[in-house]
Amino acid sequence: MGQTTATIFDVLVVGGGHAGIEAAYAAARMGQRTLLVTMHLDLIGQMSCNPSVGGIGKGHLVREIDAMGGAMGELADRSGIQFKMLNTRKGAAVQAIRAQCDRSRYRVEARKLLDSQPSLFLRQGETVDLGIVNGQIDHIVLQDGSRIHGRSIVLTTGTFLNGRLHVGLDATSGGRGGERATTGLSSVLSDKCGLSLGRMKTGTPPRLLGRSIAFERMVPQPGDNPVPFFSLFSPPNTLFYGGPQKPCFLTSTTDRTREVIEENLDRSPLYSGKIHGIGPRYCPSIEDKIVKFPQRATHHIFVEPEGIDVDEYYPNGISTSLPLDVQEKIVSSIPGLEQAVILRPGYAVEYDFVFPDQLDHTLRTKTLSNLFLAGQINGTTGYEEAAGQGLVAGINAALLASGRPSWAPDRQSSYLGVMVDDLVTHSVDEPYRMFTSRAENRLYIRNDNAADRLSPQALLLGLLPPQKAEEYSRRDSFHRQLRAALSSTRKEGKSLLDLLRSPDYSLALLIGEALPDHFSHVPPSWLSSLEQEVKYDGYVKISNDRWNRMDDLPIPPEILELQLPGISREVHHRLKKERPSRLSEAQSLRGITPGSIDLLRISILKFQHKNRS
Amino acid sequence: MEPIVAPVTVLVSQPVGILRLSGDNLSDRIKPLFPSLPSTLEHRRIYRATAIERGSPVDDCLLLFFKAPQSFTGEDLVEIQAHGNPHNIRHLLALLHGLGIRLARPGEFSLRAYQNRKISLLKAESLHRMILAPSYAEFQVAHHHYTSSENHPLYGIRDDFLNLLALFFTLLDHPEEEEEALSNLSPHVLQDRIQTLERSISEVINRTAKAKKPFNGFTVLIAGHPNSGKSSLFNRILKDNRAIVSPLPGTTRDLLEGRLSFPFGDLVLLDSAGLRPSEDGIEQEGIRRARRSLSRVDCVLWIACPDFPAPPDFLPSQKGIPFFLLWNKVDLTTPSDPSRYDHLVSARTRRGLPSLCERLSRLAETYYSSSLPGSSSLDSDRQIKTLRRLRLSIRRSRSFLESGRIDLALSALEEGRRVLDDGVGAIPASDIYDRVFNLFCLGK
Ligand SMILES: Nc1nc2c(ncn2[C@@H]2O[C@H](COP(=O)(O)OP(=O)(O)OP(=O)(O)O)[C@@H](O)[C@H]2O)c(=O)[nH]1
Ligand SMILES: [Mg+2]
Repeated sequence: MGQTTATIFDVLVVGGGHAGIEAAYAAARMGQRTLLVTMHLDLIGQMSCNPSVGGIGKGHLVREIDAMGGAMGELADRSGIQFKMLNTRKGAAVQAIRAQCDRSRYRVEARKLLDSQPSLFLRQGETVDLGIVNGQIDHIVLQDGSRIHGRSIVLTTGTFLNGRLHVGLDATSGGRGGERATTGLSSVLSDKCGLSLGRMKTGTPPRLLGRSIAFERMVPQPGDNPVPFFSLFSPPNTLFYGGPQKPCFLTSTTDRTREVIEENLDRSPLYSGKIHGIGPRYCPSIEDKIVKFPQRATHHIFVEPEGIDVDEYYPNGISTSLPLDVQEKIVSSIPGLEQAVILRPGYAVEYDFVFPDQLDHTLRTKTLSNLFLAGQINGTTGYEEAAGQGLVAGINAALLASGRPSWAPDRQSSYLGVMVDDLVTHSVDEPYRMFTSRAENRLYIRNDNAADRLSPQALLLGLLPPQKAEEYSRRDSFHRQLRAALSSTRKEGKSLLDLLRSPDYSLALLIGEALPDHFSHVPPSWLSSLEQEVKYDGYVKISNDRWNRMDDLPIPPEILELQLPGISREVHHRLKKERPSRLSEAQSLRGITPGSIDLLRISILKFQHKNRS
Repeated sequence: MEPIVAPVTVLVSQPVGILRLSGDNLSDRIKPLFPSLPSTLEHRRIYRATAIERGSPVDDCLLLFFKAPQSFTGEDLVEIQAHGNPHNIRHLLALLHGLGIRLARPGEFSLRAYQNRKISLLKAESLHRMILAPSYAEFQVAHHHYTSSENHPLYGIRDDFLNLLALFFTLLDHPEEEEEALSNLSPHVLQDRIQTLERSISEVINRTAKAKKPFNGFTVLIAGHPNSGKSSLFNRILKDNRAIVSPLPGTTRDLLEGRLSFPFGDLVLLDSAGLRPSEDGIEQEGIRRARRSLSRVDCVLWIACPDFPAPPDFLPSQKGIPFFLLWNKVDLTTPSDPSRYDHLVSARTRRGLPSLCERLSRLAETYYSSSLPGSSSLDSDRQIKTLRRLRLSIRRSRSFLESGRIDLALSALEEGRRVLDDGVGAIPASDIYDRVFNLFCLGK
């Protein structure tokens, strides 16, 4: 096939999962002629695990993606059937949103969004090979033989690399949710691209028929009111179907569940040694839970609705790879599920991933200068983690294709930065999931100020369409006005701004008492984000000061020749190469985590101490 | 690093004297002194070699070689066993110095071991405590800390601290677990755990402060009026002539420390400046120190003599410290009221000294058998400082927790984590996550 415009693109994105969507959408917003190639067009935006978006750390990522004009927040808002703000009693810095979504609606919205982008094209087909010319990817080859050229390529093949499904001791080749697996691409990555691969596993529970479930025997878990939507930009007023939120239901395993599993452990591919991949410890299969925590009498199960049009439920908490007859026994041992009918059996999937320390902070491979990887292919789990990487890779693929300098999110000011930095500096030894505990600068990188942190960068990168840019600037100028009013209005001898810093005052109270009414006629999120900013200002400053105080140390050059305990080889190598003269300089280097700066600081202090004595 | 040498054995006449050397490429360095050595030395091998100075043999030696990095210091290390005549050892030191191998500073071998990551700072401190231990029991405690760091009280605290951090991580990152694991995962439980940790830190600090002695071992202070013969007694008891003795009052100006070694532990003997009103600044300072020591030692010998038969009334009260009134110079005069005195002695004729020494050694023995050293006390001031800083951040965390701001409480705790990074050794994030997932069955 010749090179026609139909086969030449600026950015090629392989994979239509959550990473692929963000990558293609970002590149398209940045004006690049973009093609998204995926195995099945109808499965773009498929939620292959539970139908839920967000959570602690993950919800933070969704907010950040949204602040940069990305898709995930809006898609979840437009397909959500239940929303909750988590950790509401633990401080604003650790709060995040979690949404239950209608699985098929999410796909529809994803497809609609991509179709609406003028410079974005879709193509169904399996990518089987990469054509490499002069250390760059020149084209991809589809199974039907077509060659498609792109200046830069983003691979987001998720769990499909060499995927293997396990239901009991039967294994078949395949990706998630019954889709086909990509077998050839794994060896292309290792043999042609020089990347080293590892193997991971994950699993799902059986899906259940709603009308066979006794919901009255379980505890309903309602959503929040008012609905906390993800998107900062004109969130919807109602759920997409106009009705009330759907509850989830809480139940738990019983002694009988334990017995069933213990009796059948030898039929589990996990325990019979058929599965070798590393699984996530925070998302264990039910057989793992029973084996590892024998002292625990019961384990919780959240029964989540799959959507409003289907009578299908996802029993979150009993992901398993045991054979179907055992799955049936497990399900019937659970209160409320005694009569439940299994619609789709649970399974475990094993897949190849690329050790992510072979990437730089733009998620570009070190071996091929125009190849970017994003999502589960990098050893992460979760839609949100995948989407965040898709955004970063898509942006950089677009920047590269248009000859502009690259962009990397900063660890100090975003979860996106924490994730990318963790991945490329420390690699992974189990599926990587975002936690708020991973973020050192947690008090600053909050759910409420994602726009303040990231929208300005999105504007510079050209990621925000005019209407979102305008909305951001309105929000920004409102914040300025309100802040000015707060600091110039006094009450009890203090400015309102100072009063607001104290835990005893809320913005709502001050607006009601001392400020003109018009300040309250804005989206509530605008108010709460300013309020939290004022309240956290002081603490953020204290922790920044602490950082800065540490910055002042000069780095004795000879220390880099010593072994630096705790500092990864990669970081050490970089320090040796760049030879920063002060800690502040080291901190500004790519790939140097605050953790390693801390360790370096300790080494310097010890070194000084030694030389003094 | 540059090569260093130190005599390992004291410089007295004895059959064998040992020199220890450490540095890079040691075998090349010492080759000129021991030309018969093979050009490459093997790890942990003993070589017999003759030291040669300008063509003629100086001494026959045994050399024990450890190759970097498998040595104590992590560098090449050599031990030379020579004939233990002090003049011979000094001469060998001079010859080595001629080869550019300088004399090591005190503690420099351990320092290098630490610098080369052979031992941790904690270990170096335990080693130091081990070497200076005044009794075998003390030595054992230090050795216990040295050989297995998990016995060190700082490690116990670090462990509790990391478990606490893991609880915080879990509480914040896995809200869905909250109701499930209510019993061990509520802010309330955290509150209790924080308090317990704070208390155990305070305990270790206090215990160390209590166990901490100004002098290392059972200490006896010789005090009294000037010219009463304190220094003379000090010398007699130690069978040494360390202290200057003169007929002029006010000879001794500072505390002088001597050590008698018994099977059960050391007896530290202190000579002090005679107590009298003085205009002399140096003497005044010496007197101040002597008086201060009165309450910080384990036993006081007050030396009376014909000129000053009674202790002055300005003596500070000796709470529970054994106090003996001695009459010295009994060769010259006996006191008018001998029953007042615990011992009548003469530094000149040694009269009364055997029974005095007998008594002191009994006291020392009781001291060492009753005050078993706390294995839970810290090794150094630096470690105390580390714990104080840790406690500070824990207190901050607790006060945030009390007001329900768990995010701020965690940030305060994370500062404590840096303090421990500094004081005990870096804590990788994976260590905490391991705890999170071992403590809780998380996830769905
Ligand atoms: N006859 C006799 N003379 C003694 C005896 N003990 C010490 N002297 C003498 O007393 C004088 C003072 O002795 P020192 O040991 O210097 O006394 P001191 O208490 O240390 O004196 P200061 O350091 O000045 O406080 C010296 O001339 C000693 O020789 C003793 O038992 N018998
Ligand atoms: Mg004297």
